[in-house]
This record gives sequence, C-alpha cells and structure tokens, in this order.
Amino acid sequence: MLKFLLRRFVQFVFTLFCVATIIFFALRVLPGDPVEFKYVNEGGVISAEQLQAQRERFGYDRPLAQQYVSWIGGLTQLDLGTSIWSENPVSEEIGVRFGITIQLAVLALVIGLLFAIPLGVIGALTRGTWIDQVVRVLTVTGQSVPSFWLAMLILMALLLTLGWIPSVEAVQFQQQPWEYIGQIFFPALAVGWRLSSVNARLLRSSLIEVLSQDYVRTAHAKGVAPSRVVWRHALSNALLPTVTVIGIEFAGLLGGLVVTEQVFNINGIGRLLVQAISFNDLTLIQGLVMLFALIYVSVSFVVDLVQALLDPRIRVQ
Amino acid sequence: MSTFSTAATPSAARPSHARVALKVLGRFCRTQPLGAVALALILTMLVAGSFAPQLAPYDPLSASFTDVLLPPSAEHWMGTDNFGRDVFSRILHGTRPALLLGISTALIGSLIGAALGTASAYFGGRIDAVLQRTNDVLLSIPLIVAALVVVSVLGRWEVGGIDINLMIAITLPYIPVMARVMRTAALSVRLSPYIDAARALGFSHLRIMVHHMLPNLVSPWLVMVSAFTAQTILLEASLSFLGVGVHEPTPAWGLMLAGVSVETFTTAPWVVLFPGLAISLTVFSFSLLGDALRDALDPRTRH
Repeated sequence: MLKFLLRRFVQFVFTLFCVATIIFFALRVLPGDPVEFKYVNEGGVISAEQLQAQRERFGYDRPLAQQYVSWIGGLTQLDLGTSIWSENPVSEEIGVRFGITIQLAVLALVIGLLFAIPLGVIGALTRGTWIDQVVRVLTVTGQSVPSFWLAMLILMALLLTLGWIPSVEAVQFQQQPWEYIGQIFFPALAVGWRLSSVNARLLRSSLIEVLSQDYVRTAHAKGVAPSRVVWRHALSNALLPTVTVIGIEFAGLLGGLVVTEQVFNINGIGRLLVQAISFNDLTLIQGLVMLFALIYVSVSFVVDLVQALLDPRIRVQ
Repeated sequence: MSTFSTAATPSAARPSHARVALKVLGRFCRTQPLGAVALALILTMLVAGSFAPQLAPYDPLSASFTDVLLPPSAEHWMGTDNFGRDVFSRILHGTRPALLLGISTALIGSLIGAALGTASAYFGGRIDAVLQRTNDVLLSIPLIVAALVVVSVLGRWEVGGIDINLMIAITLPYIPVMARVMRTAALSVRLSPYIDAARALGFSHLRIMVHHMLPNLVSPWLVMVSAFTAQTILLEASLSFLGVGVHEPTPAWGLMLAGVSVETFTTAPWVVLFPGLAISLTVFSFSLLGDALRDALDPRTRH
C-alpha cells in the first residue's frame, strides 16, 4: 500500500509539473507583451521608460528561461505571481473566489447523483421497454441542453412564477441564509442536471451487467425480496464505476461552471478565468489553469486511493 | 451463372451496392427508431443550413429599429431580436457555423485520435506509455479551459469566413479523449490472431495498422464521430456565448444568447428560447445517432 501511495504521489507531482510547463510555454508561443496590452487597453499613453519599469515589476523583462525557472520555483512555494491586471497576488485573487465555486461544484455533484440513481435504476429494470426509451430520451436531452441556456431558463422560470431571482450581490450565509441558498442552488442545478444524465446512463449499463451476475441470481433463489436485491445487493456494486468517473466529471463540472457563473453573475474562479483571458493577463491565466489541474489531479488521487482501499487488486497492478 | 456475369461488370454491380446500402439503412431504421429520427433531423438541418440564404425569409443581418423585439407572428415566425433582426432567419443561418465547425472538428480530431490511439495500441511498450502519460496530463485541464486558453493564445485567423484558429481551439482539447477511446478499441483488435499472422508475414508496421487494423476500427470510429460532434457543437456554442467563439455579425446560436439581459427573459422570451432550442435539438440528434450506432454496430449489445 505504501508503495502504491508513493508511486501515485510521484505521478501526481509529475502531472502538475508537466501542466505547469505546457501552460507556461503555450501562453508565450506567440509574441506579444501582456504589460503593454494592459496600458494600451486602458487607453493611457505610456512612455517607454514607464513601460520598462512596469515590465520589470511583473518580471516580464527577463529572458524566457529565467521567467520559467521563477514560475516553477514560485509554484513549489505556492506563489503564483502577481496579476498584471489587478496588480494583486494571483493566489489572493483566486482565494477570494475559490470558495463559492467549490461550493457550487460540490452541490452540483450531489444533485448529479441524486437524479442519476432513480433514473439509472428505472432504465436498467425496464430495459428494452418503452419506459427505458423514455428514460433514454430524458437523459440524452439532459446531455444536449447547454448548461448556460438551462441557467437562463431557470432564471426565466423563477421570474415568471415568483417574480424573484437570486440577487446579483454576493451574500453571506450567516446574514441571509435563504438568499444564499437560492444563489448557490440554482446554478448548481443547471450544471448538476447534465452530470446526472451522464451518471444515469452509466449507472443503467453497470446495473444491467451486475444484475446478470451469479450472486444476484443466488440472492433471488434464496428468496430475498426483489426490491432488496436491486437496492442493496446490486446497486452498491453498480455504483462503483459511477463513483470512479467522478474524478473525471469533476473537471467537466468546473468547466460547466466557467460558463454558468457568467449567467448568474457569480464571482467565482470560472468568471475570473474569462476575465483574465479578456485582459490577456498571462500570470492570472496560468495560475488558474494550474488550479483547475490541481483540483482534477487531487480528486483522481483520492478516488484512486478509495478504490485501492476497497479493491486489493488495484494496489498490486 | 448469371450472377457471376452481372457481378463482373462494374456498372451492373452498382445497383446491388445501392440495394445493400438501402437494406442496411432499412434495418437500422427498424431496429433503431430513435436513431432513424435523429438521422432524419440531422439531414433536415444539413439541408436547411445549405439552403439557408434561399430558405430564410429575411436577411439575417439587416437591422430595423422599427421592428425591435417583436413577438412571434406570421411575418416573423420566431419574433425579432433587440436589433429588429428576424430570429428565424438567424437560426437558419446559424445552422451553418454550428454544423460546419461541429462536424469538421469532430472529424479532424477523431482522425488524429484514431491514428494516435491505433499507434499506441499497436506498438505498446514505451510508445504507449509515453502517449498515455501525455494524455493523462492533458486530460487534467477541463475541455473548455483548454479551448479558452488556445483561443486566447492564437487569436483569430479567418480563411473564407471560417475561423481556422477557432477550429483548432475546439479540436485540440478533444484529441486526448478521442485517442483514449480509439486506443481501447484498437487494443482488442491488436490481440486478434490475424494481426500476429500479418506480422509473421513480415508486413510493415504502417501497412498492418492502415490495412489490417483501421478497417476494423471503422465502427467505433463512426460512433465516436457522431457522439463527439454533439460535444464540439456544444463547446462552440459555449465559446461563442462567452464572446470568444464565432464573432458578430455571423449569426451563431451561442452568440445569439450572449449579452441577453435579464429583463429580456420575461419581456421577449423568444430571443432566449429559440437559439437554445436549436442548440439542444442539434446536440440531441447527434448524441442519439451516436447511441443508436453504438447499439447497431456493437455485436455485444445486438440482440
């Protein structure tokens, strides 16, 4: 187990190092000065000396190799550099917005599983009948609707029925709990719905597979109530593949939030990324990409660990 | 004997090909009714997109400040937007960038993915390990984040009205995913005895991969192209919505939803409803077709 952990940890660090390298050079493939971009964009006239001084301040005057070494060196100390656009440390910019995005993502994940389980079970139990076809159409529809449009439809429905939408201003849970739940719940629903469709289809096929196994037949033969066979004996095993892909889906979930945060005016890291890109703030962009990769790699790490604990075969592989 | 003589002449062989194709199509429609509906929808959209200038009742770009935000009526089937442009005509024209970008990026990406996946499965060992680790690294960046970064690095490069850089931005993030899918499919082919036989005969690696492995990967590839076209259309719509995809004045569905204010949701819901429906219906058709193809082509799920 220790050997497995160590190997997995080396892989973890290696992946992050590669992402750091790729993103650093990818952003600098084409010529262009992000510092100059900022001042030209702001419409200000800037002298050559001032521009040079600003470049020095953000470290863009140094040769590429030196910039790369300080970027990697900074990463080992969790220093992501200074945002050109806001002139604050990138880690600070991310820190302010990180909480809300993670809360949204986790809630969306929960919603994704809540809808998926009944849909997947119904689909598997009624395989080949018209009910299965209806479930199939439902889940394919869920995957086809863009989350940002679903978000707009939710806002539209809220306006038409309640005449209310979550406030644009960020509120604290301690002060206005209901307002806060509204602000979190609806965007999470827009993103989670898509996830639940993906999970439902996965669950359906793995449940069909499990239901044809010998131990399920044995349970039936023993006289276990059919509903108990499905919910206790089969489902607990069928859920494993679904849980396994959560690591991969979590990345997609964060991607969905990039767009959905725009619709709900949520000041999360997704929105920050879109802003960073429109301001060509290379330091901020690379910091955010590192964060997305870190979340993905960490979640897969935990999922692998849980799997290794549950299934000894994975450890020795 | 007569069958031999007809089969020998190419002109006589052609109708039999057509008949086989029709028969296959007929069986597909019978066993996969949902897939047949999806196929019909896609063909309709292809026709609608090709003949958009002839079919559209209005010029999708002509603004009219006397016809702003008109509700759907006999003149404007889907109403007008906040510039007084006919929504229906814009939706029809929007079929073009959606299908063009969606299908071409899925095709290009899946071809590269198939090449990488097949090579990875065929050679195995170190080449496979390097490609798989590279895949692992690239997959840790969410698709849309990768696409956004590529768009921001490359900027725009339009050739004949098509943004080549946007195509690259949509294709690149999908290549690792597609390579992975194709590798799994190619691995099972790689283990077949006839590949060993081909190697024993001393054929070159390229010949074995192209002539012996790829033909057996057509079914999974076809399923993948259809399923991924749904994804690329969705990604293009998201990028356009964020303002970095298709640019004004080109009518694109994602772009039509960008910048719609909350007030419009209740005063002019048609501006929001129809472009989103167009995206959903298109993505839906391609996903459903991919699903039906998987069922029809996979011998394990064939009943």
